[in-house]
Amino acid sequence: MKRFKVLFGQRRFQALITIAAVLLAASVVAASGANFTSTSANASNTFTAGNLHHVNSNDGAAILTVEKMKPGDTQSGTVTITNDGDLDGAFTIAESITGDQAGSGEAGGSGHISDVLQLTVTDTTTGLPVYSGLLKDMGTVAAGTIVAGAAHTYDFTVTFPDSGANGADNSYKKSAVTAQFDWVEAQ
Amino acid sequence: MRPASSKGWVVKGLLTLGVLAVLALTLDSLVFSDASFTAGSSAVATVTAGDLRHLNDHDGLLLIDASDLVPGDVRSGTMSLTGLGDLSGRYALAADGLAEAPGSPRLSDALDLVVTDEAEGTTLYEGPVSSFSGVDLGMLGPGDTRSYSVTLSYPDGAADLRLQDASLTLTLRVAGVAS
Repeated sequence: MKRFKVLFGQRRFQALITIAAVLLAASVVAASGANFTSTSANASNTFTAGNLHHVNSNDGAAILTVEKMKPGDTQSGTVTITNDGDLDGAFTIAESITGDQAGSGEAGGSGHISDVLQLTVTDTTTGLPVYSGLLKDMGTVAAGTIVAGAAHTYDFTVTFPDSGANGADNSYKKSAVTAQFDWVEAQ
Repeated sequence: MRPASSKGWVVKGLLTLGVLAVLALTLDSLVFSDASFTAGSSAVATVTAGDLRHLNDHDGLLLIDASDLVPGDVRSGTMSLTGLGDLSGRYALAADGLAEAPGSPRLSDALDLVVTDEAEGTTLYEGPVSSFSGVDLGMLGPGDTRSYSVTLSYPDGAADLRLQDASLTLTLRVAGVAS
């Protein structure tokens, strides 16, 4: 008895007794089968990123190449943009002049045909005009929205205005201009 | 276990702050990034103006020297045009100035002018110099050469004593229009 008193008198032994009691209580609670449960699951939730993509029928190539253009001439070319992604795309066309060569003509000057060359861009699918004005002034323009799976064809028409008789446009002889059109599709 | 020095705690604290800062920046870029999907493509357009030019083998030169012309005389000259550049053009020969003395009677009424396309063998104009305003010379492509004869005659029937020592200068101009 004296020995038990000694043991109970130690703090370490008292702590062990307390832990043992807690474990017994937890065991009783955990082992009880008397509870109601109800579960359900929404499994296989899949999140896939959309795909914004298009195909340019003239990607990296020429929409139109016009040589030997003379005053009064008009030339056209088309490009088709197909939205082959699975998101609708809002398109813009950004034009940049990548080459602008002066003429080597007569009439006392070397004119730039870019100063007079007119450009008209039309979405022939919708019939809506996209741009009309000087080629060099186009900049960036909105080209409309193409829904996923759809295709729009754009007509590019350039016109070299005839300024009049007696060689009024002679200074533009042999002048050349190259423009790049970048399609950017965004959400 | 050796207690950490105060310097060690400072270093650990700074490292922890650095890691937290990096995590915060990463989280910020994830949450506030305005990145969106885009797709691009490009195409080009090139426009080059043509070049219409021609060479006249008598450009600025006398085509017919009809000095000391008397009734019954015929003087001719031939003019050749060669298309240069890279465009075809429709060319015309036009009177670009007629100067004569005396003013009346007029030598230009007495002299006949004939313009002939030598290759085609066709007469483009035949009549008094005074009535000549211009004729169509036809198409001339790059590299093409066409010759035209211009003939001046003083018919016997047009002889007029008052035209002795009369003089006449007719300037002819060739012009082409790209077509």
